[in-house]
Amino acid sequence: MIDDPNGIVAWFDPDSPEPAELSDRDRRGVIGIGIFLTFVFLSFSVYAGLDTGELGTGLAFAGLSLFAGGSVIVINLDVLTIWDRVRLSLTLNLALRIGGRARRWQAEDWQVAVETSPHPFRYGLGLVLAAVHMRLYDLGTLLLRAACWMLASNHRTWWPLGAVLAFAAINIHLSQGWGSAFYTLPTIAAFHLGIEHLRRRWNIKRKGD
Amino acid sequence: MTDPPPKIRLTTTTRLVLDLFMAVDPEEPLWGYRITEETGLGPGTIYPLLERLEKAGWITGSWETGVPEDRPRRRLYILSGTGRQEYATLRQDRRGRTPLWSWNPRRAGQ
Repeated sequence: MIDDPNGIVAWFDPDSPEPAELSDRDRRGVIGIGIFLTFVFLSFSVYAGLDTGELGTGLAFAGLSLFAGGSVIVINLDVLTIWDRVRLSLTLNLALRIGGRARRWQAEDWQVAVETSPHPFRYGLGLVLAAVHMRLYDLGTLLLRAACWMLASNHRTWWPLGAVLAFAAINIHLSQGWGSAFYTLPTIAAFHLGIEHLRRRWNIKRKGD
Repeated sequence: MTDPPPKIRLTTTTRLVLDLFMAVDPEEPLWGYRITEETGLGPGTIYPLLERLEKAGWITGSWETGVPEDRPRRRLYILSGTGRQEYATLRQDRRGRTPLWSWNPRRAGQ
């Protein structure tokens, strides 16, 4: 754990090249402690007349227990009010949460960037957006790989497509008659051209070629 | 199974970032926040791009060393030899390519 006199606290091992991950057992413990402390602080806040400081700390613990999926970062800059610290910590932890376990190691870099920025909230939201972009890119890569796998074989490409096209032709025949169903033939030609175009563009070699 | 390196496309954003890497001293590393400041692009654009460039081997990332205990480390990036070479090749290809649809005002009058 790094305890920064400037007010930044992070749960990391400073000697480790990558931040340490919490085990499932540790995470459950953190969540349990978070919920307990939230309850204590909120009870105390209500008893003491909803003091902003205690309420804020309680909410911070609540947020941290919710985001305790691994490394937990608390931005605790002295120049910010407690509400702003909570908001900023939650934003950064949200970005890390969205980014996924494989990107937790970036936590330290993101934290120092947010701390350096003159507009930490805007930067924090930018990091959330970055995490969303990264996840969408991951999804795109996965879909592209699946598409390449399908296009690499005529069987894998035409069996599912043929089934869909046959279903469409039968459906059109039943609702509008054979005359309209005949017009699905150009669709088959269009699919064939599209598939060949994709194979050329992505440089996919068919099985057996 | 390891993921294949991502293919880098020369978009305006990619060129801005790579031009910045080319402009700075090779010994002088860049980091995410500094790149956002220098290029004027947001972190939502820069960090995913840095991740892709690093995976493709165009840039090399390392953790900052000799950091005072009181602050977290930055992730520092430098342009790798592969990146420099690939970028030069792609730029050359781009210059040599004629757009499919283009209108040249000089030729229009001929």
